[in-house]
Amino acid sequence: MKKDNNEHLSALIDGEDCDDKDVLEKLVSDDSMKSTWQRYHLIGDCLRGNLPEKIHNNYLKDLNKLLYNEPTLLSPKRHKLFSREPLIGFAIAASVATLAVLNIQHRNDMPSQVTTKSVVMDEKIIDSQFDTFSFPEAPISTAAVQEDAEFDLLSKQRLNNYLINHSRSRHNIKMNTILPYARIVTIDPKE
Amino acid sequence: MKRLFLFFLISYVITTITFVHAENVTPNPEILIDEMSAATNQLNYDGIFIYRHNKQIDTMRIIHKKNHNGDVYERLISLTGNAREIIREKDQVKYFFPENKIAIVEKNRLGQLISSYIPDPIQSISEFYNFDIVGDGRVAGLDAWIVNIKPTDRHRYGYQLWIDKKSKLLLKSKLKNFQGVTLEFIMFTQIHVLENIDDLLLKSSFSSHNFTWINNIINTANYENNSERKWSALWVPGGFSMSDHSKDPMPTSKIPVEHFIYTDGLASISIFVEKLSERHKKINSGATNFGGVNTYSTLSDGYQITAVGEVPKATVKLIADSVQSSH
Repeated sequence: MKKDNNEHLSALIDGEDCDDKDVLEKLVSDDSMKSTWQRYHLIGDCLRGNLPEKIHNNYLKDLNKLLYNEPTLLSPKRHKLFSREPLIGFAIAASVATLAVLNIQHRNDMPSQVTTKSVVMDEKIIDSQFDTFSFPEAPISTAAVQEDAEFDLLSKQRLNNYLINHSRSRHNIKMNTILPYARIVTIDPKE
Repeated sequence: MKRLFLFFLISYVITTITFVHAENVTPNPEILIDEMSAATNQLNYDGIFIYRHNKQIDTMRIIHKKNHNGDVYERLISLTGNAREIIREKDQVKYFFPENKIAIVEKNRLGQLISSYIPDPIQSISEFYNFDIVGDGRVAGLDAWIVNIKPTDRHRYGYQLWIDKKSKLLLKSKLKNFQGVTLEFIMFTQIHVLENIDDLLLKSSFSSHNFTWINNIINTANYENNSERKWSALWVPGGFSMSDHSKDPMPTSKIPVEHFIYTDGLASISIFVEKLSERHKKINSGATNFGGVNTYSTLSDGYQITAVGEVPKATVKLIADSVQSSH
C-alpha cells in the first residue's frame, strides 16, 4: 500500500524515506507539499520550544495585507447610554485594586513565620467576621451591647445547668446506662 | 476405666455443644435487656468507650465494682477535653470539674447507678416500643446481639443496642429518631470483665481540698416543701408518668429551680420551672438541642418553663407549653 503525501513528509522529517527520490522530487515541485513541510517543522519547533523570540517582519506584513483585503461589513450603529467596555474595565480595575489592598492588609497582619494551620484559622476568623458583619441601623450604646452579651451568657449557662441536672436525674432509667453521665462530662456549665 | 473416660469425654462434648449452642440461639429481646441491666449492675468491669454527639467525639473510661456487701462503686473519667471525673461511692455521687476547680456532691437519686438499673419489668413499656433482635455483630472484639427498640409513635426516639452475648454487658448504643438517623451513640472500644477491681482505681485522681465544694445533699434538704405555686404539665405522651420531683439549687438562680421528671421507662423528660429575677425578666425562648437531647423554653407569668429530654423537639415543645400553675 502506498503512503499518502503527508505520511511521506512525516517520515522524511523523522529521518526516514531519505533515499526515496520520488518523494524528494515531489516535495521540490509541489507547492502544497512545501507548505505542509513548513507547517510540520513549525509545529515541531513549537513543541520543542525552538521558536525564536521575535517573529519575522514578513509575518506582520502578510497579516496586514490579509486584513486590508477583508470585505467591510456594514451594520447599523448601536446607540448606548453608557459605553459598556469602560465600565467593565473600571469594575475589573476596582476588583483588582480591592483584592490587592486586602491581600496587602492580610499579609501585613500575618506574622513572619506562620504554619498552614494558623493561616487556615485566620481565614476562618476573617470568614466568620464577614458572615456576621452588618451595618447597624441605629447607634447602639455600649451598655446595651454589654447587657445583651450578659443575657446571652446567662441563658446558655442556665440551659447547660438544666442539661446537667436532667442527665443526673436520668440514671434511674433502665436503658440509660452511662450515656447521661457521658453528657455531663462533655457539657460546660460555664459556657 | 475406659468406660469412665468415655463417659467424661461424652459429657464434656455435650456440655460444650450445649454452651456454644446457647450462646447462638436468638434470645428473647425483652429478657436480654433485663439481663443487660442486671449484668451492668452486678459485674466488675473496666472499659473505654467513645461518645459521639452532634459532630463531637469524646473518649471516656468507666470502672465499675460491686463488692461482697452489695455496695457499688463507679468511676467515669473523661480522656479527652477537660479531665472531668464522676465518682459514685454507694449512694453518693461526686462530680469533679477541674477546669473550674468545682466539685459537686449529691445523693444518688433513687439509689441508682451511673450504669443504671431499675427493677421495673420491661413488659410495662412494651406498649410504646417494639423490641426485636435484628442480627449479631462484633464490638470491642466481642460477639454481640443487635437489638432494635422502635417507638410505636412519634413522641419518642428509638434505640439500637449491641449486647455482649457472653457477659450481657451493653457494648454499643445508638439513639435514633423516627427516620432512623443516629443522634448520638456510645461504643466501647475495649472492655474487660474482672473478678475483682482494686479500690485504688475507683479513687479520684484529684485532691479534694483544691476544689470548691457544692454540697447538694444539704442544700436540697433545705428547699423541701417550700413551694409558692404548684406546677404541673397538662400533657405528656402516653406511658409517661412523673417519677421524681426536686428543687435543684443552680448557680444561675438565687432560689432553687423546680425540677419534675417524667419517664416512660426508657426515655425521660425533665421540666424545669425557674422564677426569673426582676433584672432578667426576658428569656431566650425556643428550641435547642444537644445530641439526642432536645430542649424548649417558654415564659409564663415571670417564670421560665423549660422541658428537656431525649425525645423529639415537638414533644418537648408540647410539654413545655402545657405546663401551668395553681396557687
